[in-house]
Amino acid sequence: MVLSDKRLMASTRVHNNIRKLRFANGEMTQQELAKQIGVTRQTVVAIEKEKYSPSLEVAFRIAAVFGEPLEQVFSYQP
Amino acid sequence: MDLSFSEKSAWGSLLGIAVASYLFFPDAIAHINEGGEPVGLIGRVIFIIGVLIAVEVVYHTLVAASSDSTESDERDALISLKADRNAGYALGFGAVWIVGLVMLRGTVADTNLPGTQMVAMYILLALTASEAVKLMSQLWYYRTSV
Repeated sequence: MVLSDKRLMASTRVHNNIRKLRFANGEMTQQELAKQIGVTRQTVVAIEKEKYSPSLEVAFRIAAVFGEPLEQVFSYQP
Repeated sequence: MDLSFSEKSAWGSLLGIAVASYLFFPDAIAHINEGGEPVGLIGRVIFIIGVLIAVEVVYHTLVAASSDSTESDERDALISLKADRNAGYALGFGAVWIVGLVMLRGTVADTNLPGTQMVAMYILLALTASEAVKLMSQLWYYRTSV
């Protein structure tokens, strides 16, 4: 647990296109996205900045909001 | 700075604990060191806790009124879990420290070692410190990655 905390401290290894997708979808605000997926706006900010990797459920909800498959929204670089 | 309700709440609670500790522990420890009975501290404890609760209620009400949402989500829960873990480490460290002091009392003829009343004060101090560690951990995780 401690080792994984250190590894995650800089940023996560899960990358995303949420910012691009928000603007491509009528310049959706972070607040609007947060409301649709059931998290706080600060969590959306953290996900966009890749400081927090969302749960699989929230990731699917984000993809569903944009109508994209999960792999178009998130990618993982080991 | 863009703060969520949970983050503002943690800042308020941390500040409250810091002020309450500053108002209580130095005088309380001096009181016991001077041979005073702990019962003499009860009034001060009740007053400080009462004021702390009242200030926290007012603060949280104002913060809630000015926030978009007071609900917490999965990131808040994860941060809370990690902060609780760190608080557990701090409390464990405090417990080992206090147990060590108590054990030394029985084996070492050192009058500077704490008496029962001071041990109780150290336990209270360890509990307060663990809560402070929890809140500081939360604030750290909110500003970094989690």
